[in-house]
Amino acid sequence: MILERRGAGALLTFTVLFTLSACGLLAFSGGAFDIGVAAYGLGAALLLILTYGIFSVVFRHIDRLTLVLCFFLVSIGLVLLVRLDMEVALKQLIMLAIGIGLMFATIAVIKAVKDFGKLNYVFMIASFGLLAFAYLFGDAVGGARNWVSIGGVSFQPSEISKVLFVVISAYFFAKKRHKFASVMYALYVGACVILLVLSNDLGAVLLYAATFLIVFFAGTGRTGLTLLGVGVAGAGAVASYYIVPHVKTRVMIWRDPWIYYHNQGYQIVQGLMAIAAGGAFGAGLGLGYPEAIPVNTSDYIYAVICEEFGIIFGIIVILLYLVFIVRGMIIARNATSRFDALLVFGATCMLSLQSFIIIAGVIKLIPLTGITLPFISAGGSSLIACLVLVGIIEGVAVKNGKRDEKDVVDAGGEVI
Amino acid sequence: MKNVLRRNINVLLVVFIILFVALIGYLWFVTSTYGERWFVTPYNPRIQNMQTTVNAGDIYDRAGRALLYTKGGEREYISDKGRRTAVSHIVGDGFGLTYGAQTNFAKYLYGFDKNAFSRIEDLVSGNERQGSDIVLTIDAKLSEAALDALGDNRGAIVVMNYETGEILASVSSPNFDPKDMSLFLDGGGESELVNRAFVGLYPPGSIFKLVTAAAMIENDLTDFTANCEGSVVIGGQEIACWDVHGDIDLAGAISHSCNVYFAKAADVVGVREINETAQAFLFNKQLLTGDVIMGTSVYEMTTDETNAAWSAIGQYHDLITPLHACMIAAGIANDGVMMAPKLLLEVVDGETVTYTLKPTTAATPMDDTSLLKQMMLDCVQNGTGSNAAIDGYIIGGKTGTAEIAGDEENAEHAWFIGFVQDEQHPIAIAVIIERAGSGGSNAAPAARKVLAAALDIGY
Ligand SMILES: [Zn+2]
Repeated sequence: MILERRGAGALLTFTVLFTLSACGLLAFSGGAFDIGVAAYGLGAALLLILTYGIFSVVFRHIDRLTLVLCFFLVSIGLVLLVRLDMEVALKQLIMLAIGIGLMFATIAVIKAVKDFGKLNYVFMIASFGLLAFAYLFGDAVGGARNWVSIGGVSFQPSEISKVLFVVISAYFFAKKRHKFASVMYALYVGACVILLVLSNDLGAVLLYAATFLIVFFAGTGRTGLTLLGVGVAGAGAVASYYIVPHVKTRVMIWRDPWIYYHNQGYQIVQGLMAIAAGGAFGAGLGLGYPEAIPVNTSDYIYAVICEEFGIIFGIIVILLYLVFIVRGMIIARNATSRFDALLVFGATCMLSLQSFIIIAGVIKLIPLTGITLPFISAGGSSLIACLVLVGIIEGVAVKNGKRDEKDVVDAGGEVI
Repeated sequence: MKNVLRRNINVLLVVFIILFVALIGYLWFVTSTYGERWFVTPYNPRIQNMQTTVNAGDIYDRAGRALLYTKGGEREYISDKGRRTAVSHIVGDGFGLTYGAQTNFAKYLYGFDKNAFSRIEDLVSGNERQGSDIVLTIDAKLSEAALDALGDNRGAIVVMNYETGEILASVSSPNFDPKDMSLFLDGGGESELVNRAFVGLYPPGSIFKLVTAAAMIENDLTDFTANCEGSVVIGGQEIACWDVHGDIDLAGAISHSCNVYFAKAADVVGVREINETAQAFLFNKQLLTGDVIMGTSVYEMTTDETNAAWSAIGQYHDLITPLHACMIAAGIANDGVMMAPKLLLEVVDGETVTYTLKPTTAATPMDDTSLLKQMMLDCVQNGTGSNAAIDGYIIGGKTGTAEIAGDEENAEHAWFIGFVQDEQHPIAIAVIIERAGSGGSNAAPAARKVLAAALDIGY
């Protein structure tokens, strides 16, 4: 435990140094010293230190490494956004502050509740309603209709909905539910996937479907049925290739983006060129040419990471996500109830899958589906959703810690 | 129950670890294999962008002649128009319209190869960013001689060192003047920007007989003889020979380029075996090693006996690039080791040499090419390639006269591929002249001129 705390402390120190030095470099790069950029770095570093301090005092048993890992990934995003677009970066910092507040609230709630009980039906309606709302009134951005704008503030309902999806799924697989409940849940999952397909939000379809199957497997342990589900999903994917023109285009671009360079393949080719331009060690912060990549602040930010920080750093980022997964799974295994275990498990899977889907899409391992890179991509809804999911994980970690402490104290020990 | 859940979580954790490790492995593999290729496309806006912010390096030929240099912040081509156009496909243009050295080696010219630290040092110290100079393997003078040998014809000539794979000259006609690209920037022009030598796909015609002969050697069928009566009917279709050769063996058939012999041999060797040998000689293979972007040559296996016979004599759907044709001659001359084509001799950053050419092997199609070599020497001494002979040197070669599918009226493409058998002068050549007629009387003399020029310079 001491060792873990030291590790977290070291990583936090590194995160702060990284943010400060990167912003310092960017402040100098314009020729004259840009005080705004330096102030931004200082502000971001202070916010992270303050959050870490408050969280570790208020929630003594929080998993610090998970928290700091998430901070480091966030700081990579902030630095790159400052470099790409200061306006977006400022918005992201504000969203980070809000997200941290919501994460705090989430930890407090998760710590206190057992499994939300009948409230899950309300969640189901809310979650489905959000997706339906996006489908009916949303604006299409990048081919997918998943943006909603209310009173000048635009957000992605599917991001909020996915947090609820994790909670609801954990509830339904925590124990054997009545027939009615199971039917309701099945209808809910099906309806969500259909709505997302209709909205052309392929990334979200993949994310929801895969998360469902994984939680289903973990919760029920029925390998046969899970594989059947994978088969059905696969068949659905193949069918959609023939039915939905959007899907067919994506697959064709994936197979050879270069021949579609002047139209649909442009984005992926620009991404590949950026990754290649960086080489193993990167062009250096501020020295690449990521301006050429479309959506470089959100979906394609991984290409910017590779261009400016290099492929080795890109690999480190993947490894950090992997460490995050391992931490999440450990917390899930130690959970005090099945609901808690599945909750953490679902949240971890959702974040891991999301990072896998977008990174693999950008490097052309799988067809590209528009989705954000957790913690790093710009986008308020996405960042907040990710932080709330971390809140869920941390909430359960706090519960676990309390139980462990009680066990130790009961046995006559003392917790340092 | 709780334990089952834990077990399931463990299983999925393993799945996730596998997924992410695969992601890392793929990223590493794909960037190390294709990264260079991704970067050097003319589409890459980074290259255009860097032209305004970096003092680009100079480009020299192997003899140290400047081909393109930066002077007072401006990019200057050499003033001699003949030389400038002779190397235009190799040097490329400054607008990203062609795959020349300016695009291909942009990494060095614009300093992308320097690491982040030295670049940040430049940035902080306020130094002007400076790219590296590059030295190409080509000889500008030899290139001029090669272009001259093509005359007013369309076509391409490639000369390479068969021991190292260094391309000594590569010209493509018609060409363009990099100093004045206005026509092409407006979307005009015909095929001047296409580097026929590297990406032009031509029917190989009789030069493909070398591959068929190699397949016969590999399958111990060198004893096969045939009777040439001037033509043969296979599968109801007549395949004509350009002469009546009578009883003829493998060596004679190569030397005299007998169509009937190889058309009959196709069935004896079998398309599967020919295909295997063709693949060993890099047909149907995308070559990723080396410094050049080249087209992929084609040999299509067919079960139709007529088409199989046509494909054995380099017709049907067979296609080859002049560079690949040169590599085949080079591979035979180099005892079955095909070297990867190289264009970049050195990279010089200020005073420091940061890169020097290291020869690499592209393929080893045969263990023993002595028989093929002998046949090619015969071809120049007594056969169709006699126009390529040079006094005092031992030259081997093979002519080709490729018919153009669906085009009965116009003349055929003239081919000659060959080599100098001499340890002091390890050079191979490929010549194609479009619609010039017979390879022996049109391509072979051009090859002789270019080889003589190369020998004269001392290669
Ligand atoms: Zn004959």
